[in-house]
Amino acid sequence: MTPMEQRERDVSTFELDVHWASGRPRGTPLEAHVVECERCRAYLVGLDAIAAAAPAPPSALPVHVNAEPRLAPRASRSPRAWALPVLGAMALAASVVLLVRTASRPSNGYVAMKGTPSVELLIHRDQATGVWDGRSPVHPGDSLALRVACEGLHVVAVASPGPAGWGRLSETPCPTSGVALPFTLLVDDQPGDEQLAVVLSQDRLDDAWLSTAIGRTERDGEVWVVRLVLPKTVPGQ
Amino acid sequence: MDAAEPQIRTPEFFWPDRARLAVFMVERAESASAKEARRRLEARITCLLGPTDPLTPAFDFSVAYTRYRPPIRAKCQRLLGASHSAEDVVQETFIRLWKSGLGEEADPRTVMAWLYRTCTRLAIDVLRERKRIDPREVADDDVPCGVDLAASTAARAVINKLATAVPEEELAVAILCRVDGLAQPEAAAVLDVSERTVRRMLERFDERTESLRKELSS
Repeated sequence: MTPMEQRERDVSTFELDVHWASGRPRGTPLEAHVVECERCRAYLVGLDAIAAAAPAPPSALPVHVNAEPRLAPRASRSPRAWALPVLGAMALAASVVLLVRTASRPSNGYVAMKGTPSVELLIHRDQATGVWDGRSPVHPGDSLALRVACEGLHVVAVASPGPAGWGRLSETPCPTSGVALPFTLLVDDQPGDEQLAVVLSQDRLDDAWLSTAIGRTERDGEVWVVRLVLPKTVPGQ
Repeated sequence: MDAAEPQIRTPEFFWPDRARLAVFMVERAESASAKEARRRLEARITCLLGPTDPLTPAFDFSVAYTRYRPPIRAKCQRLLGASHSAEDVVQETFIRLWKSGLGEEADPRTVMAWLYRTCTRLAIDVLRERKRIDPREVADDDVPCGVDLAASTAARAVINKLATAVPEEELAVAILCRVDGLAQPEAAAVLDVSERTVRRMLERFDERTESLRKELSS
């Protein structure tokens, strides 16, 4: 038997990859092999680490709340807790949260059915992830992610300002509460604050309506707008 | 920045700058207007986030992405190192997976074979463009017992050096069998060719390896 033939009797990356992607079913000959084989075990640990390093959506959880400083306080505002998922061994650690919460609008008679929508901004910096505290500046190179609680609304759009007004960067159905939107932003090194608008709505808004809603920071039973202004610290400036 | 060509550079889906935010813009396309560049990137993001109509429920691509990305990223790093190019290949592979609709396929073996085939070919394109991979970028450890470390290192050196001279199919076979440690039947299934073809290409590749070794030793 040649060395090649011998090697072919061993476990390939493909085989292990399929096994890993299948959730490592127990009781299989391959899983039994992994238990005995240090190299295969180490390989699977490496895949776990790659998966862990990704911004996995947290399962749910509530914990801490920080009011967005730029929003005017409302009499009926009550703290709403959010929990930060323990991203465990992944070292996606700490969190800084911006939790925007506000109260329902008393003036139009709207009564929120499940609570008020909220938005949480996660900052990933130096191997650690935290929730923005609503004040601290972001730095060039920071990765930003958003987590929203739609509370009965169905669509979430994210927009940023441009020369022609607010432009839609993303629009998706509302995710399960506590699940991060499936993208991150990277802060650049240009001076000036960064701005984002998160628009939660019952139905998709057209561009004009979206801009208007953001401009007015509308908040009612149909549309809920959260504007984020993030101060930025640029080294050397 | 106006004419910048935004690119998705990480698995976490960066999006383009509209007002200085979001900003992974590394390559410029002088011919493309900022608007066009933005439109294209948004199309890619839409592709990753969901169907054309974002409000129409469809299969959850994020599940497939979560399930298959780590192995594919590991595979790209084996060949290309921990480089931006490796990340780009991973991204492009999953964009193609989404477009193919295969992510809904229940059989992980079928999906993984498709991903292996696709990212191998994309990685070959990168190798040919870059001409050379810094071997220090490539980690040799943490590979399954089916990968012969010495053979893998030697194969990478040859692939690296001869990427532009060796036919693509032969490179693909060499990458799968020598770098990833696939058995010949596995490689044949992944590439959808006969085992005989795989064997023949491996023989050719081994001849090249031997020639190169002699050349270097002399």
